Amino acid sequence: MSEELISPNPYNYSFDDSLSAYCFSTAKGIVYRFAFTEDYTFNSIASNDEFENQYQLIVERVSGDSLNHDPRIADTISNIIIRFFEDKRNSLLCIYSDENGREKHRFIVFERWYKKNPAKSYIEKIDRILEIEFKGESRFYYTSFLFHKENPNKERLLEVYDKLEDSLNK
Amino acid sequence: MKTKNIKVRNQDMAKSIAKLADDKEMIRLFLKGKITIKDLNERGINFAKPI
Repeated sequence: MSEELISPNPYNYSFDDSLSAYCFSTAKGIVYRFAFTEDYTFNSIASNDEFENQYQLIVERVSGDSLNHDPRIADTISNIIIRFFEDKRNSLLCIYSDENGREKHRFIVFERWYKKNPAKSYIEKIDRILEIEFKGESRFYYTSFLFHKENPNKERLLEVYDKLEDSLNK
Repeated sequence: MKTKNIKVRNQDMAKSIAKLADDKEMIRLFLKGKITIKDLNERGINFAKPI
């Protein structure tokens, strides 16, 4: 990885075996945890297990208030995503949290991060807003799919991703 | 931004996506220490260490 792609001042993070999650603390003592989960969305659409290295990333502030803007938090998350894509086979499905009704805001903030990050030269991001009618209620889900532009399975990933809409409307 | 709006009519897929979103909220609760790893395992959620 070229040095200019590493975010300028990230916090150090570590893996907590007892939680199977990663942790970092800010200069003000605010603790964040993040975890990757295996994602099977593409395999469920393709009806087989051909896709590996697909994940979701969940980041959570577990202590303290984020009253002051701390750019090092964004640097840290940026660094995590850049490290994640060191393996070109990895891909990431993001479903933005609707906590406090701010899913659209999170979607826009992430897009802003992506647009100004040099890593967009090799990480592709495709966005979908899903309107789902389920159990008589309609909800919107803001989602993004990220993958390395040199992913060896890229053509097949895009093929299945294009089927997503068909699968959702059958 | 390559954004596309999709209306989901397939109820099985709608259920799957709703579960994905619910799973994510469960993981957030776990990271906050409000539920246990056993609760996640019961939902078939597997953590990974890709970095």
